[in-house]
Amino acid sequence: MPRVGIPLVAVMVILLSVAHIAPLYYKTYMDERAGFDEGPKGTFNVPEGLPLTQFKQAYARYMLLAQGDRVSFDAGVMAVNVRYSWLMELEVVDVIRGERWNFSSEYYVARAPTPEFIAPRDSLYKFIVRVTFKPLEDTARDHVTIDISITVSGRPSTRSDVRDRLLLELLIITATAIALPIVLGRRLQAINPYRGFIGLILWEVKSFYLWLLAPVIAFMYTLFSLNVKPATGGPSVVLAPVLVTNSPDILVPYTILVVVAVAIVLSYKIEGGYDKAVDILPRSRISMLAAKLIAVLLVTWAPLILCALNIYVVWIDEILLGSPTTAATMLGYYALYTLTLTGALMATPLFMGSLTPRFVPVILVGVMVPLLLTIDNPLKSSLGFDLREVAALAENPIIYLYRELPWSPQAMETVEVSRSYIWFTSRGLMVTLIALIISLITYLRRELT
Amino acid sequence: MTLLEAVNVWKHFGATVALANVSLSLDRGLHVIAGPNGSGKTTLLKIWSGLLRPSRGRVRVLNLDPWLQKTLLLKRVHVAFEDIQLPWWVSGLEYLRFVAASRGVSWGEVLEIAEMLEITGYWAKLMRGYSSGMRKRVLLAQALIGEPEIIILDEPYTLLDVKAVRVLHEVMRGKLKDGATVVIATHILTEFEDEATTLTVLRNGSVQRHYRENDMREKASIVCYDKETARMIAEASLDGVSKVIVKDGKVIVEAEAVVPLERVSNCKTILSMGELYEEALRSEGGV
Repeated sequence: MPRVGIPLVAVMVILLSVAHIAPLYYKTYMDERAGFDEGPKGTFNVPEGLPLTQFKQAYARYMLLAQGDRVSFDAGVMAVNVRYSWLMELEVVDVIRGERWNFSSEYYVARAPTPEFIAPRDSLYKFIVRVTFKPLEDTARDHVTIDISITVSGRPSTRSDVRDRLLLELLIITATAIALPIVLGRRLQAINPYRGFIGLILWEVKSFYLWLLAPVIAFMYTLFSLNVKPATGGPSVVLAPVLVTNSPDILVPYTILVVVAVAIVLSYKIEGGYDKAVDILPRSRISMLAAKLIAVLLVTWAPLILCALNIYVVWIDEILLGSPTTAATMLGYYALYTLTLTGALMATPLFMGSLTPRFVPVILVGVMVPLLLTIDNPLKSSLGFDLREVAALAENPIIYLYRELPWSPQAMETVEVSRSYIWFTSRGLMVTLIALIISLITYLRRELT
Repeated sequence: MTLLEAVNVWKHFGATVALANVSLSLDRGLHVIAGPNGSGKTTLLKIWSGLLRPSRGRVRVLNLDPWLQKTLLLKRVHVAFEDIQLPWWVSGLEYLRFVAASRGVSWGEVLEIAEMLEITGYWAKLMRGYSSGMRKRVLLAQALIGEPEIIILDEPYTLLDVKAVRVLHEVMRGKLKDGATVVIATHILTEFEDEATTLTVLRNGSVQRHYRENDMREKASIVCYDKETARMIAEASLDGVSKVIVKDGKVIVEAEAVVPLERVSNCKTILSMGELYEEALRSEGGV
């Protein structure tokens, strides 16, 4: 078999770019010592005549914490026109090891001292806070207003080990970057990687990565550097990199860039006749289209997943080995979120592209629609829609806020429940599906002419 | 047995009529489709390759519907078209690996053709550094590897140097000998085309002329591959022999009428395709 050329440059770009974000992350940690706070706040009105037995509000999220990080949970319940007590339940789970801590206490005043959690080791923790309002008298005799707030605050510990670990990581990455092409090179010499559908995807990835991956990675990390802000009380200090990965401020412009780049590359390949080099081979049209779409998603999603992976691996090296299902779940959320957003953004240009014969200019115009929906100016208000706000609804898929109203369907109608990740994802995936169908029409339309 | 068939085929590109009621059947052998630019040669071959769907009419290749059964068809039919751009971001070697994997062709077969076409010397480099001729050789190589039942080549000679054309002829002769059918669309007729089984001349999307081997005896020439035989023919001054040419170790005898030299060993009747093509272009009528 002939010698196979290894995409050494690509491997190096990926690995070194992964190394690149580590200092960004650690810099924030080493330089800043501020805390953070966030939490759901809710007001609930119980109209006169409605009996209320209890009202529960809950908050849950995952956090990556290093040993010594402190997270405190404050809750407050204030109600008008009723005597009441409230129960605070806190459950902390070390997701990697399965260890649990529970706290439960009942209070009779609006605010009370609540516990602080000090992370015993580096790990991924799940926090569940439940606050239950319990009226001590009949609520039906008067109009009752209940305010419940849950505040989470934290303080990262001093990270003396960070520099050592970073050096080690860089050493490992460099060694991998050198070793990988050598090891893979010898193995690849013996096989032809282009067999079957996987081979077709590989071919398409190879077609795309040169065009997309390198600039997209560069863009992604530029956004990272711009968005890793000093930790001055914002909501994302402890989990800054994780949240930044999910931030609509990054994802929306990122996805728009990706859509434009994909449109240009696809059109270039079609108009330039490069796709014909594959068309003349015994590959079905549907498999060629599927391979293209999968390749686009793989290539454009790669920078996001690499960033997320890097955080997990560099920070908590046990997570992938200790709890691979958790890591896979979290990465799966990123994937789903990105797919949703990409699909939603691609829908407009693909639709416009499918209606007109010249794809490139039309798709570039088409991409302006989602772009305009992200602009902070009067246009946004005139359109009545801000894409970033929609994307922010699902910013962190693991945060959820809900209220349990066990008794009255009438009351449930008045409760404003935050739209969940599922809400966003289900609708987003529908849009994605439509986008895929449109892209199929676009592709077949080209085939038929 | 008819291998390639088109019955009342039409193809429109918007308002442009590329093919107008074309009917053509080709059996095993070497087939030349000639015609001026825009005559519909490439369109017809693309329809036979399953790359374009006819607007109207019936098309069968190896008893398959090319459009609906493209994947099956292209396993047995290898094609190369002039407008195909090879991806410059990979090497010729890598592209041929992809082709080999797609068609299930062994690497040995790829290597054999690649060496004949002399592309192994540069195929490890990215194709962006290739000249047009180098790229053309890679494109032709992908069509010639393996054991296709039909090879369809659109303008195979453009961008090739004389030596490469000669090698290409050699490879195609080998494929024909192995039982493959070769269909060439060209407006450059070389001596290789003189060995064709049929010549079809397209003009303005219609079949202007379709010549079969047996129809063309009047314009027949004789090629003898044996010098001694040729010498005997020349000396015999047979009736009807107007010219005897000795060239490249071969003796070519031009005759006004059919000369029964095929009985002589190592001689073969060939058609003078260039003359036929010119005659077809001069004529106004149809088939």
